[in-house]
Amino acid sequence: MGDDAVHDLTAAYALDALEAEDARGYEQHLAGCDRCREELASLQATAGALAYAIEPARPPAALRGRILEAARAERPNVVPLRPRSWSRPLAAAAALAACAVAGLAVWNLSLHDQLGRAKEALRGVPLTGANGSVVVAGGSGALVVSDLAPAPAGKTYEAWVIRDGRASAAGTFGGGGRTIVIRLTRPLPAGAVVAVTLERAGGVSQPTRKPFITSDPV
Amino acid sequence: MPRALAHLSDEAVVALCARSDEVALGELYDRFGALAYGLARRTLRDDALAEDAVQEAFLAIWRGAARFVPERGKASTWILTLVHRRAVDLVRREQRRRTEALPDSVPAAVTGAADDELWLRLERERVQSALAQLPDPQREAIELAYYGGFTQSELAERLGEPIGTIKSRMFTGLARLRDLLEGEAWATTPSTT
Repeated sequence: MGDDAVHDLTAAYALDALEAEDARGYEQHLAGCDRCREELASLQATAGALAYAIEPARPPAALRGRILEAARAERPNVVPLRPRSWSRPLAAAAALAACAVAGLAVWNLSLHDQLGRAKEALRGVPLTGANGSVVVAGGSGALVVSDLAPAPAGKTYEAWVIRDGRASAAGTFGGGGRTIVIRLTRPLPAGAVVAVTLERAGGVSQPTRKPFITSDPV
Repeated sequence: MPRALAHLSDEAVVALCARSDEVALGELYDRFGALAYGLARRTLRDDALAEDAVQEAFLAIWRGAARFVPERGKASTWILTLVHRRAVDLVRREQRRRTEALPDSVPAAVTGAADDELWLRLERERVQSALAQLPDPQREAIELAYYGGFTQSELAERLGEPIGTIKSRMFTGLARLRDLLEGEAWATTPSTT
């Protein structure tokens, strides 16, 4: 199949306009073709925009409850109920373990020391939007994130400590790598939330967009 | 009930879904439900089938949230792709192939906040105006495929054109639409065309 034919299929696939058999064939091709994956991501975003050209319509009021009920009914098969009761320490331990394996240090202490000596004082708080945690020790903290793509050219990630609706800049970083540890440059008072936004290189004094990573209150 | 998660990005709310947070699924429904239902209804031309498509799509979101990778694309694209796919699957299964104009649309009021509604209206005008700038054959191929749920072979037959022509209209049209939408996103003043 020539290049042009593949591109044409990308558009048809993005519009869900392939016959089932062709769609399966294209998906197999996709697995081995970076170029088509990139092209598809951008054409799929355009196809998604077509949904906005239609006037939204209010669904019947009962549909919301029906969906939530069905979701509730099937989730216990996948994940135990009340996952948060165990995921909090587990997530922290996993992040700490990842750091320890990578030989990274937080503050001037090794994580082994932190874990061994200060088990009581050290807490992990889960993140939403990325794998990792905020590790809290006393009134300060570090952000531990795994598998975060490098920030695009001209951009930087910026961490924020948010308390009472006010955001304070707490350091910029570039992402990339398996697991990264960012020491927050602001104190971390109880109840504060740590968040990350993508900003222009050099950082900004106030977030310009919604955070894509947020922590639970520490 | 106040929307406790209203301040979070779509991506963050999807991540909460992956942690079995039903409130997060409800929040996604509040953000995308009316858009999803409007889209499904347009494709399926049937309120009950549109409800089925929306329900299946939100359950697919619930099941698939853990596999969503924010670096690969926006959560809104992922969600609308799932909704569209369910609607198209259903329209093909039901052999519904009606393309006449929709009957008068149901009241379009959205349940979200006023600024959400305003944003949706601006976005609708923006996409409609970009679509209107496409050459007719390209717009026709895209609209019949996306809104009508026709496959490329069905379109070739219906329009009496070789399938290669249909493919290339879809590709050229969609790529042009992408450029128009991206171009406008960067423009500082509204387009006058």
